[in-house]
Amino acid sequence: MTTGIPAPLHLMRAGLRMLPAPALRLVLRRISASLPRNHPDLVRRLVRVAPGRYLFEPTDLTQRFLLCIGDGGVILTLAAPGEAADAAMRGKLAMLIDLLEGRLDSDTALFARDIIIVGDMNRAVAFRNILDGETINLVGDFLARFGPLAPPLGRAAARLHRRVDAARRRLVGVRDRVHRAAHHGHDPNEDLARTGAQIDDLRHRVGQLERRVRRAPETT
Amino acid sequence: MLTLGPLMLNWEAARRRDFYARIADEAPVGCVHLGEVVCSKRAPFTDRDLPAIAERLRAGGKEVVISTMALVTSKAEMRAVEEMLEAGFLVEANDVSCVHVLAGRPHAIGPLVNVFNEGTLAYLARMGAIRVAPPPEVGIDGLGVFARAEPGVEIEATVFGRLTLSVAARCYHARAYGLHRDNCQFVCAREADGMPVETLDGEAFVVVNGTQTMSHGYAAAIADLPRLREGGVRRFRLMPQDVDMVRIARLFDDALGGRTGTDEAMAQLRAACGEVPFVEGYAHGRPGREWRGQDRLPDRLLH
Amino acid sequence: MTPRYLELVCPAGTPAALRTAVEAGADTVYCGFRDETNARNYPGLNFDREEMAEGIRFAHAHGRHVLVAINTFPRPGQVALWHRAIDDAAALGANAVILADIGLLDYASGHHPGLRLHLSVQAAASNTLSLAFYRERFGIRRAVLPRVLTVKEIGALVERMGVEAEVFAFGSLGTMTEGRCILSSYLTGRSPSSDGVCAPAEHVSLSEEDGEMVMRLGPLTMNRFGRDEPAGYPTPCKARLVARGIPSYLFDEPVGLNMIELLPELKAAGVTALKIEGRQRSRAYVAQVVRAFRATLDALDRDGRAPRIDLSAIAEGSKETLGAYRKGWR
Repeated sequence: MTTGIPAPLHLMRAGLRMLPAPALRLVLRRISASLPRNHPDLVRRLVRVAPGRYLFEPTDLTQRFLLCIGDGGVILTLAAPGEAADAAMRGKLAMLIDLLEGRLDSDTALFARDIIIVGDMNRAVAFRNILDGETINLVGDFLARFGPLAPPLGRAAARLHRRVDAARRRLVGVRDRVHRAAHHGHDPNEDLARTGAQIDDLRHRVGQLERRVRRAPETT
Repeated sequence: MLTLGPLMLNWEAARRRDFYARIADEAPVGCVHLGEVVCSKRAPFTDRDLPAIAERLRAGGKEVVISTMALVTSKAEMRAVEEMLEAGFLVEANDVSCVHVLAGRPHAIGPLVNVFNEGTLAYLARMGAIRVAPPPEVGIDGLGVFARAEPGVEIEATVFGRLTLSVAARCYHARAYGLHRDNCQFVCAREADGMPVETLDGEAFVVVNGTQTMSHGYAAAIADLPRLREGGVRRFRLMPQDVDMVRIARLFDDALGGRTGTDEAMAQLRAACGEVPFVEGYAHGRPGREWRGQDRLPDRLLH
Repeated sequence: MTPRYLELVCPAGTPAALRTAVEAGADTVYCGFRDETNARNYPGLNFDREEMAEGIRFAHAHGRHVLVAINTFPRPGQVALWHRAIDDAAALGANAVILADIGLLDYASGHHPGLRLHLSVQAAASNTLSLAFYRERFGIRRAVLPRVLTVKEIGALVERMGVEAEVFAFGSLGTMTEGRCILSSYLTGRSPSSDGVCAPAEHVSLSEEDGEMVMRLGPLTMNRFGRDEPAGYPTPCKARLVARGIPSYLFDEPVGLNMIELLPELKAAGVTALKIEGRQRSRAYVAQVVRAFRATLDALDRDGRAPRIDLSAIAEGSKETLGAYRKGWR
């Protein structure tokens, strides 16, 4: 699944290791404050469907994080030692981030033993399912809130993301025509043959762009 | 009325004949189900002595109903159903394919057909179902809803014995013996009351009977009989287990007839069933394996 | 004979997954309402009426279809909830509803004669007679076949069943006959048939004991996994159990079904649609599986063969099987 750790995550992990607790608390507070602005639907649904206290325990860090979802909204803080929670998720930081940002399927991670979830499974499942409804960018948010590196990195990544999106939209458009043909009783094979090359070309280009996105932080 | 359900276990021919001879002569049941429900490989053996056993039971004044396979897989099995109909037996369907064949004629529906609500019940009644024994998940309240919704259909509750929890194409009995179903050596005949299956921590889980899993304990719904009756349930099914079924039938008959009280009947039932635990959860809308009855089994057996 | 187009039917547990599936190349997406009328009734999952309307609009705008799964069995005295689900799916323009219960099939065919009916795998119709029952009485147009048939048996059945055949291509498969297993409610009180959940999350617990991951369902231990041993779902049919003193996967191992290599055979057998299981899983799963199947189907159409795509990492138990599609499974 996640092969190798992308550079932004390295930065984030380094940041988490180096930052003194008060500074880290400030960053977390700012991320918490930005959530209702950037993801109002997500926050509303989390509060309604998955209220509770969720502990995140990266096995490769000394800190643990507590996400409180309740009437006060969604608040991310550093967890105190022995902090009580409804459910806890344990695994490498990269895994936890991939899960939270929707890149990794939590069942897959559980099957592979990359994570373990303990506590109230009903809440944990609700939390996971609600979170999966929207794309959030924790690493980006984190980096955007500390360090001079953030702006150029963010701009480069955004540019590439836009190009990937455009290419993907074209691919979906081609695909739509095939499906219309298939569902309306035309011979889809004919259509497929005609558009096959086009799809291949687009897929190739999307692949290239995606690889560049992955490499982006190193190349900027 | 008390009914003796189909024998789900693989007992050898001699034992089967003796068992039904005693039922015919001594058990206070009005109706006995015959026919292989579990495994197509057992069917040729079960079918061979079926006519003689049916004759014996009829001579003893019992109605004989033929229960069909839970998973119909071959044309031969459907032909067997047709033959039973021609021979004048009432047939109980345990699979939708069989319902299709029986439609338009009076027939019964067994617990392995998904009759979960009054909509399905009404449809099946229109097609000729005159008796329906719903699956275990339909508890006492649900049976009451059924009886009120279709007064013309006799609703039957399973009140004693192991409950079937799943059916499959795969044989777990053969797997436990390191065998394949095609070459199973009929290892399911080695356990007269099913093969106990435990968790890694030694908790009782289920009993395997060939391709089916069954409850690790027996249903023992003596205390529920009054409520079932009030709800309109007219028939009470006892599933044959490796215990004295004549004694079990008498005990339920006495409880139904008001000749013994619930506590006394429960104590007698407990004594008749050795160390096998009881279960009752489904009847009350709780996890099926639960038992809160008053027989006070030692804790280790309640796990 | 030119082999027919194989329709790729993909899961969507959330509106986001629906969009992901469409973008990844699904022909058809199936989903359910947010209640016990569908067989993936897990917290935080599924669609309210507004989301369903929006999802159907989105899919239709892209020329794709949406099937609404109403594939549980209504409880006694509560059928109204299920009837409303059918009415709403029809009103919102669903391309078909997926049903299992006889009473619901009767209701839908009577009240919505124009609505296309698919028979859910929960009805476990695996022979011509049961399929004839549903076809002749309710006019079903398609049946999802249980995962117990070999490819050869599927081919023979397709010729005689008189409705379209949809088969499972990928995902977690139970070994028990679908719709006829109540092991989950035996332990927890809730089951796929009535509640739309197997091994409901509120009865599942995971813990770490001496490096082992212990998985419990209700009061019972379903499994203990060694330090790096791949895990599966806490469903009773994947439990590690002891029979005759020997611990084993008595019913079935925790493995995921993947018959991507059998696609040419299924196509030749006359199958209409391929179903990807997994409405309980995330967008990442949907994207990965749908893309792999899309690429393979396209390559098969173009070249008659396709490079093998490895999906084992996302399969249950991190391991794949052809299940019953190859003889010997029983």
